[in-house]
Formats: sequence, structure tokens, C-alpha cells
Amino acid sequence: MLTPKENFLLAAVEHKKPEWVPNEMSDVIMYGGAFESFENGPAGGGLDGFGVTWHATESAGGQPVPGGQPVLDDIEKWEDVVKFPNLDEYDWEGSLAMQSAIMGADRDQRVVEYGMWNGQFLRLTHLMGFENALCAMLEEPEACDALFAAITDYKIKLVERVAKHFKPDIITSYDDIATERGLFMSPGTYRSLIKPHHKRLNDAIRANGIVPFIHTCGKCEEIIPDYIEIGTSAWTSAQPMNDIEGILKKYGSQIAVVGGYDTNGRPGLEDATNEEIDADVKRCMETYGPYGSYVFMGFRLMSGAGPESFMEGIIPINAAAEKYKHIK
Amino acid sequence: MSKIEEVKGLVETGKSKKIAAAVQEALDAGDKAQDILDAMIASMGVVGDKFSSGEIFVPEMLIAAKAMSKGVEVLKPVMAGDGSSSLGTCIMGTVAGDLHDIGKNLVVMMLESAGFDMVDLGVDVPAEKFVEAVKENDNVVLIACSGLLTTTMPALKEAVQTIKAAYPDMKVIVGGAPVTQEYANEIGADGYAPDAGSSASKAKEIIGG
Repeated sequence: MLTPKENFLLAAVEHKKPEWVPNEMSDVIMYGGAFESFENGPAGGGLDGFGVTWHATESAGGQPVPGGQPVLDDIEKWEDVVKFPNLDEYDWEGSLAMQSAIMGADRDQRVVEYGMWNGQFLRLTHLMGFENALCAMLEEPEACDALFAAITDYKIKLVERVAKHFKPDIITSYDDIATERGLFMSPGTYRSLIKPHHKRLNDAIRANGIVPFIHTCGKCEEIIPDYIEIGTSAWTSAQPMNDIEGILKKYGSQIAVVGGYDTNGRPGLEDATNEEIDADVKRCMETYGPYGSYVFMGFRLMSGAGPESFMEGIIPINAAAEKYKHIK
Repeated sequence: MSKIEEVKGLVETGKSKKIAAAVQEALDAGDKAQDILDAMIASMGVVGDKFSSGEIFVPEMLIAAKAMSKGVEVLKPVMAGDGSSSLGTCIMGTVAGDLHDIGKNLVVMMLESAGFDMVDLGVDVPAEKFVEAVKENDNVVLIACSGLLTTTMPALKEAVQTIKAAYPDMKVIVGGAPVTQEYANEIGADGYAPDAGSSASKAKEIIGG
């Protein structure tokens, strides 16, 4: 019998049918993400390494969200204004010890995934504010391209340090480029302005011996072939406003899908009943599981700023996943 | 091409650096300020429809709204004191506990472009603050409440019910990713728009404009 790690990698990296449907929320040691103060500010809120102010929110399970005055008003002045975190000043071994103590370190049993938050597009929006960032992409594409290149340079340095200290199997680049109904920008804008930087980052992750995943919430099915083209091994966190079954049918041999749970529907609500949760997990396992190249992931947004509220939300989802994980 | 047609094209394509001069040229050529404004409002209607149908995306809509705003700046001194084009005041905010402002900001721009005088209360707005804003502002005809998180949907309900308890005839429109027409009906809202592009036409429909 495979270990959960071997089973996960079979689906997510080799794009084959695993022995059972892996579960992102139980088979993975998740490092990075909100732990990294240089990316998301300190716990409870404050400045990140770029000078952007973050707040912790009770309504989003303590997730940090950017706010305050934009750091950058005029994209053409980015070279004078934007500063990057000094990664050499960071206590990498101390951070690894802290994160291992919280998230676990059973590397032989579970996959180690480092969540690299705030991708190139998201960082632009954090620096400028959303509306200004989106306008800048159309009005000043050359300046945006140059800033995206600089952010990618910084991220490649981050990948090198993560590779050295965390030694993850996977790095997931979080760059949310989609809404409930479609991409924030046209596919053409994505392809000309963002995709080349996503590719360069994916290449750097692979050059460090790590498998690249890309995360975006929302409806992004139109650019799944682009994710494949730039060497992405898996797309997370797939939400069912996308035709996940169609994607698995058409592209399952080239890219894995992580997700499936209806996080924005009834099953994603704080007051979802165990029956509603059970039914949606069963739907995921039965609909997507048979294609292979699929990893289940489900969560709910819960009120409360601490990790315990988040865990409270996923316990019944994980219990149902355990019940239905065996593909018939 | 007439100057007004040129202004319309500049709004639709979001040319904010060129529009001020074009509006001024239209005025100089004898076009009435009200006609130029109506043309720009019509252009934003086209932009909203294109967004709703997926033909254009958020950035294209944003730069169009930005261009419209620059054009209106030129018209304002000419039209000072003329409130005939206003559809009334609309109070808008993202409900308590929710810090999301992108969708709310887009709707503010679209409603403003359609002719509403917008009062933006920002994010994390307690239900009572919507009621206070009605008292503090003149000619309020509509309140728009936004909520993006599944966890803040109850706050959306509370906002609508608090507003309706204080002002039973006040029209309330709601929207946000997890919101549906069914949910809008359930919480007693007068209307729901699935996206920013269609919010303006829905708002006008609700107030009978």
C-alpha cells in the first residue's frame, strides 16, 4: 500500500490514477503562506516587506488582507518607490522550526508544500490598490511588465531560500486572477502580461528540484491550457463554477486538479449541515475521482481570527473525504 | 465623425488622457453639455452590457469609467446647479464584517456613470450606518449593499432588514459573489444584480428611472 505522500504525488505530479483520492487538507504539510511576515505582515496585522499594510479579519478566518494607503500611485515610478523584502535578514531556520512545530514534519508520510502567496498580479494589486492596478495593466503595460519582472526576480530568490531551508516537494504560487464569473483581465492580457512571468517562476521552481503548482480561485478554465504550457503540475483550488469534469477529461494527463468542493455555495457556508457537507464531498469523489489526476480539497470560511475556527470548518469535510475516498 | 461621437468612442475605449480635450471641443463646437453627458452615459451603458456578456473585462470597464469621470469634470462647471440629469442619491457600502471593496467600487462607478449621485460608505459598514446615511443625505432613492463572503451573508440580511424597518419604502439592491436572486428575495431586497455591468440598468429599473 502506498503512503499518503506517494498516493498524492501519483495523482498530482504523475497525473495518474491513485489508489484512493488524496486529500490536500490531510495529506499535505503546508508551510509558507500566512506564516511569512515579509509577505503578509506580522500575525494580527502590520507592514509586510514591501511596505504594504495588512489586517487580520474575523470574517475570513483570520486571513490577512491588504489595506491602507497604496504604496504606489504611478506605475511608471515603481523603480523609485517599490522596495523588496530583504530575504537575507530573515531567520529561515527559526521559521522552519516554528512552522514544523505547528504544521508537523512527517515528511515520509505527507507531502511538503510551500505556499508562496501574493503572486505577480496580486502583488501589483497590493501595491497599487485593485482598480489602479487593473487600469495600469491596460494603460501602462510596459511599466507593468517591468515591475512583474522585478517581482519575479524577487520570487526566484525566495524559491532558492525555500528550497535550501524547507526542502518542499511542491511550491504553490498563489496568484488569484479570476472572479466567480471569469478572469479579472482578458485572456489576451493574461497571456501577454502575466503568463511569461508565471512561466519564468515555474521554470525556476523546477530548476531547484521542486514541482510547481499554481493557485487561483474563481472561474479560470479558459487558461488551463496556458497553465499546462508553462509547466504547471497542478491547479489549485478548483471551484465548481469551472467545468472540472471537462478539464479532467481533456487535460487530466497533463495537469492535476486540486479542489472541487463548493466553497462558495451552501456547503461552504458556516452553517452548512453535516448532510450538505457529506453530499458535496461525495459528489466530488464520485464525479472527479474516477478520472485520476485529482486531489480533493474542501474548506469553509468560518468566523473567528484563529486557526482553530478554520480547523473547526474542515473537520466534517475531512471526515466525509475519508468516508468516500475509495474510487469505485 | 461628430464631436459627440468622438467623445462616445473615447469613453467606450477608456481613453482618459484624450477625453477632456474632446469634450471641450464638443462644447466649443456648440454641443450642449447635457447632450454630451447623455452620450457618455449611453456609452457606459454599452460598456456595462459588454462586461455582462463577457466581451470585455474589469480593466476595460475601469478605464472607461475613468474616462467618463475625466469627461464629466469638464462638464461640471458648465452644468453647475443643473440637477436635472441626476437620478437621485444612492448610498452604497460593503456590509459589516466584510472588507471587500472591488465589486463595490465597480458598482459605484457604474451607478455614478448612469447618473446617480453616489455616497460611498466604504467597507465593513454596520446596518445602522446605512440608515444614518439616509438621514444625512438629500434625495436618497436607493441603497446598494455588497457582500462577498459566505460568512457575511447574514450581515447582508441584517442590513436590508434594518433599512426596511426604518424606511419601508426605500429601495434596496444587493449583490456579491455568493448572493443570488433567491437570496435577495429571501432577505427582502428589491433587486439583485449579478455583476457590476448590469447593476446600473437594474438600479434604474428599481427606482422606475
